[in-house]
Amino acid sequence: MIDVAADFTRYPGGRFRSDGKFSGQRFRDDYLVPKLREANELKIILDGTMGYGSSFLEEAFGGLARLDEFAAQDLATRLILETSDPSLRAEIIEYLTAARH
Amino acid sequence: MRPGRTIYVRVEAPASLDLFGRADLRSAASHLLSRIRRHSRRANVGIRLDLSRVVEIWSPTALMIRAEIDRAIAGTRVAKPFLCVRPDDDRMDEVFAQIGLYDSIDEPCEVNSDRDDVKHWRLATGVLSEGEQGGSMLESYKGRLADRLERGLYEGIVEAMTNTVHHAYEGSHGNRLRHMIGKRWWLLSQERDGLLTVAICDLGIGIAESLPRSGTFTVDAVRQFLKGNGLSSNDANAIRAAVELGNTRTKIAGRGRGLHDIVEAANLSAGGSVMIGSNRGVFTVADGKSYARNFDDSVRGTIIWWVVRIADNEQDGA
Repeated sequence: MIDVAADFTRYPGGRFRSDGKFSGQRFRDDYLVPKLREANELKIILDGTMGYGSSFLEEAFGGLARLDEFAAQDLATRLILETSDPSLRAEIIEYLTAARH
Repeated sequence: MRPGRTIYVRVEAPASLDLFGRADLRSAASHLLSRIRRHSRRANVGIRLDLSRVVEIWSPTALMIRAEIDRAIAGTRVAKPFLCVRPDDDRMDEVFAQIGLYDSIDEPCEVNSDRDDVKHWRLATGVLSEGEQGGSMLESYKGRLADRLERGLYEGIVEAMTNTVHHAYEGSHGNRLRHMIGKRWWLLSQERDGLLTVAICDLGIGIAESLPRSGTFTVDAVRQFLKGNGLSSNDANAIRAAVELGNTRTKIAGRGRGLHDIVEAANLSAGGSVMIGSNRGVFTVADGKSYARNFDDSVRGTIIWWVVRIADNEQDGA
């Protein structure tokens, strides 16, 4: 499980590591990828942060689907997205799906 | 003049500082920015900034003035680049103190404002897309902004920072503009009469120049958008293209959503609005409608500002 606000930051930032400390790229490479290597399902608690810019989300989740390491079509079921905001879940699914095309 | 001796050029601010309203006020305020920019690049020249006549200022304009002064200070070799004649108007004096202008030009100042319409001005600047500065600014209004609106503003601010860091200072032109300041943004919030204004700006190349090179949308997509809508190629329509292509084309692998997040935040507040100014153009979205406008002169950068309703602060009795 990853609780973004508790384990990563309350203030998600930009796309790349060069953008700042709490980028989508860092979240993907240092949090999502190692956890997905350990378990088939990964629960991600998205509430508790100030919000997520689309660049952060696209790089973290779209970028995850673009990696060769994971079967992109499985990610939407392996990632259990816990959020009170349905539009956030929809946006992440959109990035996971779009990255496969 | 002996080598190295500084001479000071007087640069007078107009009474009303408003870059994004009436055309005549825009012209006077942009002339002020232009003179600061021009004189700060001259060897052995300092600026005597005369603010004595200023009686009103809009927060987006205050932000751009502060940004231009920061860049002037960073780029000059003059030991004391600014002298200052402070406003006769006490409230204006307090506003300039509140946004840190006097501190930035090393002007001694002991002013601390208790006025409700001044003490809530907050300013931050940085060169990375890190949300903490914007997030903590918004957290100071905790409980007074609806959760979804707070989140929307945060997401808009972070995307604006990311756009600045990725695109605003690109190319050889951008490289010159960021000399000594980096890929810098400035952020300001102001609360007044039940409205919260949040503004973020850069001094980069502008959206019309950055959009085709950003890779977010292809040059053809932008061209087709303008042609399909019978729009000419200008700054306001470039902003419109960045907003409207971002609204309709969200599935772009490896790319963001243009200005989509930025506009979305304004739609989360009844009566909310967002204005995006870039070089000569201004694009406004309010109440589900959009308006584009071009001025004769350029602000030489990009600014985005949101205006949303905020609940009363009972502690202030406001």
